[in-house]
Amino acid sequence: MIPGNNPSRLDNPWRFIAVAVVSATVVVAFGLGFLLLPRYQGNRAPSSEKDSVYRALGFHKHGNATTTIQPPLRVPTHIAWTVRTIRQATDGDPKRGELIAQDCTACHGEKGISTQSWIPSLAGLDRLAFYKQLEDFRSGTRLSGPMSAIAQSLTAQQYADLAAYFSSLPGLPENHGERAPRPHSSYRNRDSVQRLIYAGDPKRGIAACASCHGPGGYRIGAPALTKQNELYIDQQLHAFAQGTRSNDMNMPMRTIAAMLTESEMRALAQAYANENTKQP
Amino acid sequence: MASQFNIENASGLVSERVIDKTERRWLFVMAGMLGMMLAVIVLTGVSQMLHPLSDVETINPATLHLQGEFVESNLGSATEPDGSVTVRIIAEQYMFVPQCAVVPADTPVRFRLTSADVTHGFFVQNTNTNAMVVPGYITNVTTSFARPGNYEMPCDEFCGFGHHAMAARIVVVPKDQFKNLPPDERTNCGTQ
Amino acid sequence: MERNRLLPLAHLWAAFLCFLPAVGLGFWQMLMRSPLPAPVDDPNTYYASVTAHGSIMAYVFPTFFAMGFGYAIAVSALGRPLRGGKWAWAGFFISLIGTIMALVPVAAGRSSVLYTFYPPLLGSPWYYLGVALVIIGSYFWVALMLVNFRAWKRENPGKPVPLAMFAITACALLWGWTALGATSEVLFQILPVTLGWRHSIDAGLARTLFSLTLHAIVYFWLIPAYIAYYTLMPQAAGGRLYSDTMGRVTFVLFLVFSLPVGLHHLFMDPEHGAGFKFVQSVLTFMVALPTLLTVFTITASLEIAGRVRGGKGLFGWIRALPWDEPMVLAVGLSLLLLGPGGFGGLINMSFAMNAMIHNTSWVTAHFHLIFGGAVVIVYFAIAYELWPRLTGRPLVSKRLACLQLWLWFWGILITTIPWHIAGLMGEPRRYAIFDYSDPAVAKMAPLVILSVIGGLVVLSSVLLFFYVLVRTSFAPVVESMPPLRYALSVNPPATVPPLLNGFAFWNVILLALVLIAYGYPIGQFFFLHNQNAPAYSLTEEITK
Repeated sequence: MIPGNNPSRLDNPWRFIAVAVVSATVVVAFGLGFLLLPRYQGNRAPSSEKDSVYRALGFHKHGNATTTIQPPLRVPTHIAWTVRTIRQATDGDPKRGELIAQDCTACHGEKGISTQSWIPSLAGLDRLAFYKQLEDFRSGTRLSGPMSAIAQSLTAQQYADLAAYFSSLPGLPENHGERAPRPHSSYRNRDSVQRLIYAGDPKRGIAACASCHGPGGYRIGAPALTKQNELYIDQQLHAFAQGTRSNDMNMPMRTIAAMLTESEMRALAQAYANENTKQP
Repeated sequence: MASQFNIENASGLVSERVIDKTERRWLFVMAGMLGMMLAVIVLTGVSQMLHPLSDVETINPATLHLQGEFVESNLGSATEPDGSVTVRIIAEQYMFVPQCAVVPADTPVRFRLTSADVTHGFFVQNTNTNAMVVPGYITNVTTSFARPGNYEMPCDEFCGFGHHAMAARIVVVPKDQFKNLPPDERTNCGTQ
Repeated sequence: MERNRLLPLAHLWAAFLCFLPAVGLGFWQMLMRSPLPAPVDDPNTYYASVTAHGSIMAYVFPTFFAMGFGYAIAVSALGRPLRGGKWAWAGFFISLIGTIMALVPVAAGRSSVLYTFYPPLLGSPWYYLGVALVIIGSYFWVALMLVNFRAWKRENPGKPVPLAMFAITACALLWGWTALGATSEVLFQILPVTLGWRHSIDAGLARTLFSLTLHAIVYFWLIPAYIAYYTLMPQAAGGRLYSDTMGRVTFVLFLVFSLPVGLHHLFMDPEHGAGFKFVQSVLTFMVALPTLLTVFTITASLEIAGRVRGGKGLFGWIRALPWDEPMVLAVGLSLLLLGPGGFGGLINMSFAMNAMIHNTSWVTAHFHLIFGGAVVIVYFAIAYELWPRLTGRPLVSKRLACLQLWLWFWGILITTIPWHIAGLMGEPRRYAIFDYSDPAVAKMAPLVILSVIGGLVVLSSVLLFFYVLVRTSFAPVVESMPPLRYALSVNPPATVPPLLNGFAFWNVILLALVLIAYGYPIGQFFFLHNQNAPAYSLTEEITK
């Protein structure tokens, strides 16, 4: 190639050195990482070289302690948010739903806006939240005299139809994650209820209500609360706190409600019930 | 930007042999320094059994509440037959459940966490218990607390709009005090 | 020739025009996190801001910068017009469209996923598509660097490729390999879910693919600064580069060892065993080496320049250096920031120490110090070198340029030092707001406020930078602008070994290492367990 400088003599030792250094590094790294270090695990030390390699790869044996599990005393809900469930719940026909809903107006009001403060408005309610609550009433994981009987008289497809119908009505706002920038939404706000709604309380570990219930937050199954009936919200918070309502999957509402004070629950209910759906 | 100086002054200022020698010397010193750091890591791994998490376990995040290790009744602190304590916590948007766990000091404590939705993190402040909680996987960290006290455990991986208010608490009590706690006070510390 | 100037200039303008609002957002974020009052006091907006700031600073700004710098080098170092200019423009516009496409949903609050976008928390598909387009546009640049590199070698057989071109080609190759990680994650995992074709995603695999990019991308950012260290600074200082060979070795080491180390970002993750975490930890030590070598070589080069200028005694050469030259000042300040920044990196890569600071403010402080500090300060100096030559208008004031660099230096230090300490005290990262009424949090308030002050200094530095640039843009065109000259080394080699003049062999080593280090960690997700978790959209139910 290059006359006079004989690059092969310059070059080959370096090629060899490069490969040697890289190989040595790799061998040392694997040796230490798979054979030496896994041996030092206290009373969980591996029993052989092969076991050592398996451990280092992530295979393990935890023994009986973590495999014997108490049978669950109760499940909070039989719903799991699998693709099948979500498809089923969102696959309803609003026209059919409208027909069925004629039986709901007595309590939940015309067009899904309830005039009785302890009964929730359903207009605009998210389909998944709606579907889950009916299913929970049916299975008894959420208790309510009238609703249990009603839920048991309907089929799952009818739940979906009703959900589709009610979610199409104007009322509760659609729960989306995004919202316009909203000033005074942090801990700098002097109003403690506004703080709770938009910023939360990390001292107690309470997340902002809005981060799941909106405005400007989304969590699957969490219904929008803006313009919901005040007494209903208050009652449900109390029910979660006391444990009489316990159908929240993985206990978020029970955990939070147990930490809220009486006056906070009332104030939150009032704030949400009166909250304008328009951006402030 | 041409320099006013005649950089021809610098040609051959140092012989290539000297340059090679100094560079090589520096290379060896640096490699030695890095080697020593590596040795320290290996030594702490050997002597203190300090290792990154290693057990790869999978679980279905959508059915945590229906079956398996993380059902509601199985969360919180549980004493193992060998005296160690296993703490099971679910991380979800936007809280840890249970919010608070009691563990004894000077005892091996195994944290087992999983996520019900997105990736979270948990960090017991003022300790080196710090790990990610990835949905579909169980995070298994064994540690031991020397000092009794209340330890805040914030979420330290962005998980959504409520991330900044997500925190739990680990209450470490002296070993004998833990033994004498009634069972339901041992699983979680309620509204502390 | 005109088109050859417009191309790099367009890239540099794109880079810095995105940089400016990103810095502004960064300052606002510092205010939000602090106890001080902040406008638009909204945590949701904060997370959108962090996403925009991070995406611009990580994907848009350094990419456009490297591309522009690369084209400028290809023309000036190789002494001929760029081959493939049309393709370069195509790449530029693709990346530009991608930038806009990505930032619009973020601004609308529909994609506050942060620049790391860890699934299964997902945002708008337009964001991911936009990021993918930015990367795809940059691949045009990667190809062109290689094409021009090889064409020059064919035309100049046996001659050493100019170091600057060798280095930027190594940089391009490095980027070409590493971007595959995040791009695969986006194309094969995330986009199918956000477009509704699939409904679950393996979060462990996604994080692992992303980790392939996450570390090497910082070297993609770093190498342009090192190119200035090796090839521009000695010239500006009036001296020579201490060792051309070591320069080449450094860039080769970066190319080979930057990729198979990403698992050190996943030390705390449950989806990998400790074995491969340790293996990649050892490889991370290898990638620390080229920086350490650079520190020596560059300091020696500075000393050469100092002594040539008459500096005597053990440290007299420092004073003799032309600190009124922006390039020299920037490199000097950068070396000062590289020290603590690199030291922080050594801590992060040692698992036991990492456990104490993982996902705390220490991490954020670290990369702001080393990237925002040590690297970007040199980007400014490179801009000061390139802009006059690309526009034909001389820099309006070297004094102002140097002042800007000093402001940046002090601003970064004042911002990041308290931030590091807050991280050590346990302050978690990525928090929109802190409740300072909590006594445990209140302890950190003074540190956070100090960082805000630092942020103000940083912001003023950026504004001064733009002032200098804009004023320069209105300066009268000069007849003959001296061309960009690259430093010679003390003993310029007539030939270099082919191993230090090409990348074929190193690509093989690199691939072997990636296979060895990542083969099982990635393969396990396909062959061992298929752990798909339901995808969660930030804004609404993702399964419609």
